Amino acid sequence: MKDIIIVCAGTYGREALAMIKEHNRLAEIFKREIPYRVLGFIDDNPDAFAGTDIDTPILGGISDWKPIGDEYYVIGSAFPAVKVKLATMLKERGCRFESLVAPWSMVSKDIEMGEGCFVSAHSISAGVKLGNFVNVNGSMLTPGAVIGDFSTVTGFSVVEAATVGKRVFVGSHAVIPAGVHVGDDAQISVGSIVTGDVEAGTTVFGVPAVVIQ
Amino acid sequence: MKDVIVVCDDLFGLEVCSILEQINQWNIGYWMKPPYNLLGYISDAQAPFGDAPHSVKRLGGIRDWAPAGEEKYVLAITDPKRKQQLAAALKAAGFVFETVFAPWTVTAPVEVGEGCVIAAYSIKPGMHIGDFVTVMDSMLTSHSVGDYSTIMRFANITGDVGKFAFVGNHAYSHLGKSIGDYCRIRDGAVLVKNAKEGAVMAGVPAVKVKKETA
Repeated sequence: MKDIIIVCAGTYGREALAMIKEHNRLAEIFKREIPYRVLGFIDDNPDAFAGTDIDTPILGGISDWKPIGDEYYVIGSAFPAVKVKLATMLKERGCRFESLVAPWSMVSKDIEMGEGCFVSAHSISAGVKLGNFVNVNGSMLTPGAVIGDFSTVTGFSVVEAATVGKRVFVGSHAVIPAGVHVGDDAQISVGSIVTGDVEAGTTVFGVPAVVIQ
Repeated sequence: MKDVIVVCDDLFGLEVCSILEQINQWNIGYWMKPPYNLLGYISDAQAPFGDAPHSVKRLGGIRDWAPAGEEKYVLAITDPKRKQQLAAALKAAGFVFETVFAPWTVTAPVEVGEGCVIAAYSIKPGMHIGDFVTVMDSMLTSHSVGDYSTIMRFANITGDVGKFAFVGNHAYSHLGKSIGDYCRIRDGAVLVKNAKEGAVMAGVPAVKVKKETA
């Protein structure tokens, strides 16, 4: 059983908590070893759960946090820049990260996945490579897809056999077809149908997707 | 448990292998026996999966393959004409094709032809699905989908689909608009009119593409 501390008490952090609770609930039903114990959250706002009925504690702030024992960390954020900042800061202090895969996701065992990933995908086929700290939310990654470190693929997107760089944000309902290269730090706006390579650092939007920034 | 071999040209073969594995896992999750024993794939492409991680066994090429026993074949091809060409040649050589129908597809009984791969999100009760039709994770409320057609992922199709049609990812046909034989509907196209036979449609709203670029 792994001890887990969730970084950030916002929406994603709470989803991580839900995923862990579901894993534990299923493990109990099928009489398997309970995989996780959540020690709590860390968040610079100690009142983040005010007005909610979440009873998991906020153990402290992030800015001055140091690891307390053998625990693993899960970053509760989907923004590439935030993931970079938090992962870098916490790794410097000796924190280790767990890749969390939702029990409701259909994820093939024949994939490569780095550390600290957050997968609540619709499905990830065999043949997919995920780097470190990659978020996949409600999307389909098909064979040949390569997603770089700190990138995020959000709701109802389809990534075929394309190569997505680092720190890329792929918005909801996007399609990235086979053969496309998406450069580092690019943004694929919501609903974009990408038809060609996306230059690093640019933002594309539309059907077909064109550069808007 | 059925022995199956996947017939493919490219990475779509690996996607179908993943679907077969998912079907097995689904059944196991409901305390039922996994239906498929995936022996491997055959492909005339030397390395159809490139360097994508996988554990499916390559058994050989298609051209010189001779079926030998009770195994069934799954046609993992998206191009309609290629499906017809391969199906005709391989059936003549004694291949027996399996229709794969995902158990998670939300549906009541439908008519399905031979050699189909149906892994839809939802399809309409009473629908007629022809032979060698490929439907990926989409929602269909059509009355019928014709032979050799392919519907890709996250599409939402409300009208009938003819034969040899290819419907891309995230395509939408609005309020029962139909898709004619041999149409190619590009990724993300939103149809607000019937797509006439052979039309290539793209855009929001979809218009006929003048030049065939892909």
